[in-house]
Amino acid sequence: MAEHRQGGTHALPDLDDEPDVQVLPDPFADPPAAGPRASIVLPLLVGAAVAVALGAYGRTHTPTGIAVNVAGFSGPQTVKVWLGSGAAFFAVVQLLSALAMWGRLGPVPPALAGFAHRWSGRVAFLLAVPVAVHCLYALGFADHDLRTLTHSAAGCFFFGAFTTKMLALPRRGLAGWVLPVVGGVVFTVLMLVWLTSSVWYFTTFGFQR
Amino acid sequence: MKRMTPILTLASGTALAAVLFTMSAQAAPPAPAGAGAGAAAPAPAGPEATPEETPEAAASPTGDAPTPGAQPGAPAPPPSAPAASPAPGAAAVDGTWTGRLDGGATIALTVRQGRAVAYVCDGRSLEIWLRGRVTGTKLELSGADGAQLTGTIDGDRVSGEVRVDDKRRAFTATATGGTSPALYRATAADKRVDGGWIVLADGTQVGVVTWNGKPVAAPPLDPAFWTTIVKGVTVTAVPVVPGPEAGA
Repeated sequence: MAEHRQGGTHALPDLDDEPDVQVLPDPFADPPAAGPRASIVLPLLVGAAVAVALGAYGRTHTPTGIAVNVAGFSGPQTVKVWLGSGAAFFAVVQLLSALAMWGRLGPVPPALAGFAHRWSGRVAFLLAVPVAVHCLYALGFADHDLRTLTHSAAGCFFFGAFTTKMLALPRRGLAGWVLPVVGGVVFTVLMLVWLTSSVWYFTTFGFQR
Repeated sequence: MKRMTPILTLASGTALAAVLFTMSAQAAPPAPAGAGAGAAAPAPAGPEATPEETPEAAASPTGDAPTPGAQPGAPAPPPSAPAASPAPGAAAVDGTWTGRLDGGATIALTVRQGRAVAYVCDGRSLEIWLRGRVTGTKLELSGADGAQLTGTIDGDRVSGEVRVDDKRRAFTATATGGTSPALYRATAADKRVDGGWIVLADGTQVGVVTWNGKPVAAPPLDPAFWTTIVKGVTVTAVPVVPGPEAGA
């Protein structure tokens, strides 16, 4: 700071009450981006924090086994299996509507594709939340075997990736690949979560009967 | 405005999660206090009702309809009798007690109609099921491999000792005060899983699951449905009450 001030004294009158905000350009700063290019760093950091926080909570908090009773289902497993499958269904709608938004599915009205994409995403997210709450609160981060470990890690990662996606969306001027890549990660991870829970449950259920 | 909608989505998801967490936290097992109050409420009502009705019944043959008047002598005792009938003898000590053994293991004991079942469990590897009888206030239970439990019921407290092989462990237990079961057992159809749980009055669970003959710490039961998943197998636990096959 003192060096800056020294360097700037002959250019600016040394006024004590004037805040030293108009410092000279930092020679070590990155060159200014060529356009209005926003950064994905902050969404990535927040998303990572969410994922780590969920995992740490699930790991440290003693699983209570206590769960909210959702009427109409035979048990907590079936509630989660069906909510999760609903989320997976809307995730597929997400993939299709995203392809349509990018013009990969032929002449679909962009407004329709955007509407379908936004609302299927909201529904999928809100369906996934109760499942995650039950998992984290009643069962915790588990590593009994490869399936539960994969499911636990991917489940935490999903909500982190989703947070990143939501925080990235309002940013203007992101590189063109950012949203498709983040969206693809969100979709892939949700499918992994679903495969290691609902699909596993359906197959096991079938074998058990 | 449109730029805010992803944030709104995140916020509503967070709010939903918060609501569900709160509901989950409140979805504790039935509080013994409530059950105790429910059980206590009818008791004062019974004695009150009986004295009122008996004089009326005695007086009514003159004033009221004559046909019921012939009966009151008979029906009037039955309403009071069921309230009192569980009391005499062994049934007076019906209840559920939970406590600790010297050395740290947890014990739960349930007595119904002179029959008793007890479960000793340390939550890691030790579990003993015991069944037997109550004579007066004396407990005599036995379990597998020659395990024995003897004890005395003294109102809200039970004290005694558990003997396995040559080891003796004293225990004391206090009444849960409620009607909710404290003992749960789950057995999978293929007999590979045999789990026992003690659910204390505050909702704490202690359990051991025997998996293919090897005891392991039990995953917690979901108190909404009394289910849990052991190594990928969903098992449903049922409350254990002393049955007629107490010797089994």
